[in-house]
Amino acid sequence: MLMKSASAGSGRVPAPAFLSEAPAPSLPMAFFLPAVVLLLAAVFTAPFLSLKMADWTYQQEVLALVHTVTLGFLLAVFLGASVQLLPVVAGVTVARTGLVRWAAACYFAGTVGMVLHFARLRWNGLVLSALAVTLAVVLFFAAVLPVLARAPAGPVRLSFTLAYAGLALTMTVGLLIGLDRRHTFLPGAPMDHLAAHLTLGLFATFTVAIWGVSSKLLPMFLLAPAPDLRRQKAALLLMWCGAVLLAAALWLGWPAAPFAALPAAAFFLQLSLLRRLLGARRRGRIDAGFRYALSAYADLLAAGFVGLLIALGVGKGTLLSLRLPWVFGFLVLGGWLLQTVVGVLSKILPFLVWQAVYARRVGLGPVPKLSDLSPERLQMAGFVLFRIAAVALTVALLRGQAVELRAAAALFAISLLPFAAHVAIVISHLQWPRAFGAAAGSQHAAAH
Amino acid sequence: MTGILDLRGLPPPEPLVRTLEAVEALTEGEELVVLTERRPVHLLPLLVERGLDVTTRELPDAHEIRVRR
Repeated sequence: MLMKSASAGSGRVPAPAFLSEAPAPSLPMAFFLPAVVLLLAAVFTAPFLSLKMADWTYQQEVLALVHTVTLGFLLAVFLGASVQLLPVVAGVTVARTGLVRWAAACYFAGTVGMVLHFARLRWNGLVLSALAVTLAVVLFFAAVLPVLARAPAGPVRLSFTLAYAGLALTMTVGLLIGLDRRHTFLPGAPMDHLAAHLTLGLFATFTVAIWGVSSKLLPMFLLAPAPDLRRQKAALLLMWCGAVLLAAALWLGWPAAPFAALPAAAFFLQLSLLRRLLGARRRGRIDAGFRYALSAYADLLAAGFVGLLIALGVGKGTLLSLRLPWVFGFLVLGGWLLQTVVGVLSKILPFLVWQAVYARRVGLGPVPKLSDLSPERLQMAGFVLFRIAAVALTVALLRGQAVELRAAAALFAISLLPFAAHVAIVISHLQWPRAFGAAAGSQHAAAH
Repeated sequence: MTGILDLRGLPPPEPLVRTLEAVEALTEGEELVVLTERRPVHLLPLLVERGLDVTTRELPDAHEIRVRR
């Protein structure tokens, strides 16, 4: 690490080491771009599964759809963000970039294999594909853990450590469930195992990862003081430990409600940190990317309420007990996780591309502003449409009528098109850098 | 001659933009002191690429970058 800490005092900056400290944009892009493609594939397939969505949750096509979103989009973006953010936080380069690229190739091959084998319900192929994903994650860890180990103690390091541990647990449980379908050996009910697997993935992996990344990105872009370190760490630990305990309770078939108290406490702690951060921010305007990320907390709150209803056995023996898991699943997966990641990616990608294409030209010639890379109106329209579609799909999932589900799922898919267009426009600058005139150039970038 | 550019409170990538624009005006032997809120990992390599002499220091409330042509 070249940049010295306060205790180390000042330092002359030699070129080569920190030149490579932030990775080449192509490294995170190797995860981000296929992730967006897989997200679109998932959301545009969903309307064709409306009859399945009107039925109960445990169906092969639904499992395929959920894994396209979780592995194909959410985890892929998290891996890409890891390789982008950790070197910057740690001040240490990812030395094994080749390994990361192999991991990306293996990861997406395994993910597509898993989705296809879920759809056809072929367990042998599914387990083999899951092993490919596991291998990819092991390769990824081999490349990234040395960087994580040298990151300074703080929320980012803690959240990534917890999220990686959560990921390892989620994958182990997933593999065990897959093997159990071939040679039954796990004690307990298969649906309880699935609930545990889901809890580990959604809360012990993705949620803690999002909170860690947010603790860095939100203060940076909203010009707010960093969140209180102790409270942020407490929120992360509460969520992770609570999610693991809840998963254990679900696995063992114990009542879930008491074990949901810890994640609920973590949520309210995180909410208080967020309120303070927003209250102390020096940047008044919140752009579309962060609107996605912030409004997602409302969906997580709603999901918590629905989860409590499920845990308390509300509607047991009635049709409502079939509909509530759908609503809970969508609120967590679509409303909370997908919405947040779409928002964060909307912010990260233009920054990465601007850095790669235009930063070197600053001061030497005209350069576009960060906000020139893609129309803000497009992103804002996407956000509004997403909110409408998310509410429509939540209501449709609760009502369980196939026609309404098809229409709402189609609207939800369409609501992600502005995001996809935003990504495509931003990425196009890599291939075709725009020539900006002097009037538009040299202005101070990012004057949003 | 030393100039000071206090860029604390600006969102990324504005500190990078303003610094790179300012250093283009530096003449031989002139120094610019830049204060930023966070460690400017993306800025530093660009300064070095331009053949500038760069030293950094962490202050209690800022990162100080001294740039000399």
